[in-house]
Amino acid sequence: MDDAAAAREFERHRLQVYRWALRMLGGHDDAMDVTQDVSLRWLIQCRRTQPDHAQSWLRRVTINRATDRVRQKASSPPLAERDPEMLAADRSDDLVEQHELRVRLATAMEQLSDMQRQVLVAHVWDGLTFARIAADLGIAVPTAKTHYIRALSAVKEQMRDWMDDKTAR
Amino acid sequence: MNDAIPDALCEDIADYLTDGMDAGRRQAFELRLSREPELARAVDDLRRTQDLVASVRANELPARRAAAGRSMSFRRFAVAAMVGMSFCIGYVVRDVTHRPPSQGQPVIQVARSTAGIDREAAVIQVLQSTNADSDLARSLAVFAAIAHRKHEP
Repeated sequence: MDDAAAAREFERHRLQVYRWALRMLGGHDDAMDVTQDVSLRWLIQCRRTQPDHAQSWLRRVTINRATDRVRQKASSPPLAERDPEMLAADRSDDLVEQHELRVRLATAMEQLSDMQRQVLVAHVWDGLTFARIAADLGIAVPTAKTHYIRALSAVKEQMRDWMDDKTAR
Repeated sequence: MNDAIPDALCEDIADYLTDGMDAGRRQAFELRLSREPELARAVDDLRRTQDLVASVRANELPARRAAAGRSMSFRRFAVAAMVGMSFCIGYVVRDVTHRPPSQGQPVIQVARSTAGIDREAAVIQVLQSTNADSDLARSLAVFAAIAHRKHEP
């Protein structure tokens, strides 16, 4: 696939890539950065060999890049130190909570196997059926469902204290 | 409980959580849940986890901004390649290197001196001067050229 064809193919998926990144990161600028990063990786990948399933490849790379970015941001100064004015705003608690949730969730998803993560994102965020996911990933439908439940179980274990805290409120 | 969930039961739970069961199968599974409280708790936990993951959703506003930002970004990029506008180059420098435009002044000068010779060569030269990987620079140039053609009247 030449560069122009690869670029055109990426354009078909650009908004979806952005949405995946935005769900992981919660901010437009970060999501745009990841989208751009993924677009370049896609082009370079296509020069070597074109992935069989573009959407699956892009989903995997996007989630991995977004996870890296969440980790980088988590190690940066806390939100309160970076933007005290934002914390003074009415929605500060929500913002902090959303930020923490994304960090926790990204960390939890990082622990999943590649297959588990892809199935979870494809179903919960993309709303794809298990039949479609299985076809994309080249696995049997029951296997996709098993990956889904194993992924949820693993995330649940990682997020248990968060969920218990929400239940207690 | 979760590690011990057999694959066949995973399939049932997945279908139950995602509304993939017909009425008869759902009724039978719910009857089983009513008789096995430990399983019911596990399924409830999984549903809450599913809801939590799903709650991390993009709202409509950023999605609309993304659509606008995308075309603006590439349009500026393409224009920068053609006429070497400092603002546009600054925008590109920030996008590529994550540095603010104010730190891109040397790059702007390069752009000014090279713009007008060849639009794609100018972009490549600009990006190479930011220490961007040359492969990435060339890739960006291709995207810019395509975006430019798309937006040409």
